[in-house]
Amino acid sequence: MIATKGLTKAYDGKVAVEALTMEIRSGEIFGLLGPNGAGKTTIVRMLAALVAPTGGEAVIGGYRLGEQDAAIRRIVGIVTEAPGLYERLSARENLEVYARLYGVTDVARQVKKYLRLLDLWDRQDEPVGTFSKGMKQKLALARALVHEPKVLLLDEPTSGLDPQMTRVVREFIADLRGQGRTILLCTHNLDEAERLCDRILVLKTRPIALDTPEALRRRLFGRRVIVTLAEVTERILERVRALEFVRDLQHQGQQLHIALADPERENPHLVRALVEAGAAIQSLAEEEHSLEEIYLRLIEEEAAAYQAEAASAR
Amino acid sequence: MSPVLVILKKEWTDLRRHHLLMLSMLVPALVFLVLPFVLAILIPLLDPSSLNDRDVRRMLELLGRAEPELKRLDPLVVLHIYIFRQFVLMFLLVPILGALSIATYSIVGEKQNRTLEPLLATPITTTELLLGKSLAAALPATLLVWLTFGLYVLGIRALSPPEVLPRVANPVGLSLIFLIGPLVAVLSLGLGVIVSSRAKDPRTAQQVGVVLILPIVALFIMQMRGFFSLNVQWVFASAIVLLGLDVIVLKIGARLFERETILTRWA
Ligand SMILES: Nc1ncnc2c1ncn2[C@@H]1O[C@H](COP(=O)(O)OP(=O)(O)O)[C@@H](O)[C@H]1O
Ligand SMILES: [Mg+2]
Repeated sequence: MIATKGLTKAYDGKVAVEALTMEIRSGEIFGLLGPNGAGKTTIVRMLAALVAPTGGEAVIGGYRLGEQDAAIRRIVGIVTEAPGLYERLSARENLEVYARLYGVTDVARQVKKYLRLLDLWDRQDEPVGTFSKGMKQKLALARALVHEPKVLLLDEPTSGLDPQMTRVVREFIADLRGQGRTILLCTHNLDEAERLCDRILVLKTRPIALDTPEALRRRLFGRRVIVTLAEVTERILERVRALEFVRDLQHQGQQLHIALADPERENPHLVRALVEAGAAIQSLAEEEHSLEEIYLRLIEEEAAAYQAEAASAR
Repeated sequence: MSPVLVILKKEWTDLRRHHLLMLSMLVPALVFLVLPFVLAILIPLLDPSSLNDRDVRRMLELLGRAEPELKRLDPLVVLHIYIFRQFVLMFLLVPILGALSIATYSIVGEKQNRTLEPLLATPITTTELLLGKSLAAALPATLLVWLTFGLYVLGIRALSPPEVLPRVANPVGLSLIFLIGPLVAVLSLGLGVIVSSRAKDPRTAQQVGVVLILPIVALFIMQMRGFFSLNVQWVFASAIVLLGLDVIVLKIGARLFERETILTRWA
């Protein structure tokens, strides 16, 4: 649905997004994850045909960016960083303006549909200036959807919302899955990306990693199981170390941290060996890494690579 | 509905609810409407000797020299004609201030509320957007001065001697209001668009209004001092110059009004 090749944007010579090549599949929720200033908003603006790339190319819904921008704007819906609503206009009037600008045929029906869906129906005639931040964000979502776009671009849709409203908005986005819409979700919130996205692109000006949340995890940390024993003895440690499939072994108190390539296949052998060595197994679990750790690690690696590059250039 | 109409309608809905902006347009119109009546009717009534004031006599004399037929009329009638004509010129400030306030507010206001980005993400062309905003500013500003002038005419007919109205609503007066009025409104909104691209605050943007107000005030004073008196040739010559300026200013505005420029450089 969205394909970019070497997409680059520089503002007055300062690079904001560099050499972005990616493909977003139809119907998927694709996350753009990166710290502030990473270039997320710039990517969204390019894909919405709001700012022109300074390099590379992109095709959105079959239309070429830079050549068929009007067609692109018609199939794209956008929730911008700031809700950007007309405060003296009512919720309904705000949606009507956009429905008309997008050339929606049955304006009243579409406006009603999204006011109801986002639970704004009862307050449709109140000026938006009186709305809470969360309601404004819901209205911004309704506005982005009122013309039933195939592609939805969400630029940090939950930033600044209270936890309850954050949940409402996230659930709404999750519900959009399966309606055939392709969603690009920008966030610097790792938890959000992990919960909602099918695939994640981690970036900081340059793309750093692109994969599913689970694969990103595996790639960086391998997989580890944590075995808790009643008592850890030297005999047990030796027996485990002797297993040829164990890649690494560390122990802290009652716990063994064991790195494995394929826990599903190797766990039974591991357990048998432990039992044979006289271990009393209390529990066995796979170690969980939050996306946060993955993210920090990726960013660190990127910074290290950058420094190495700079050093070699010197 | 055409995108231009959608914008126009949206701007007007917003404007109607922006009471402060409405007031800032209506108050000058009201002042220019009421002030000449106070001067022409109330002052001679309260202080009959004011007609013999040296300055007033000098002015009436100058007016009589320019238009000998006025010499036949009663000095009070001539005073009315003089005052009411002067204020027709002041009426031009109404479309200037009005168009400027609406244009700067509707652009700088959108900038401040960050409403431009989602708006520019729609299929509307920047020309349509600029046209919608321009009409939204020029039409009410022009209609307001026409309406004010209408009330002015009714007031003069009701309160002044019958010889006054035909000499105020004469070709010069009418062409000032109906020809120069819309032309200065467009000039004003065009300048408003240009400064709005730089300004962060509508009030800063509105300072450009001085550029337009000064020539009008200068004319007002020059005519009051008797340096010259506006005639139809003068008015039409100004109309041609204004038309040229309008075209130039709108072209510059349209060039600045480009999606990426608006989003990234206007911030
Ligand atoms: N209009 C602009 N002019 C100049 N630089 C900009 C502009 N917009 C963004 N940038 C720069 O581009 C980089 C990426 O910004 P942005 O896309 O907003 O990142 P994010 O949305 O991930 O926080 C930043 O370094 C920012 O300073
Ligand atoms: Mg951003």
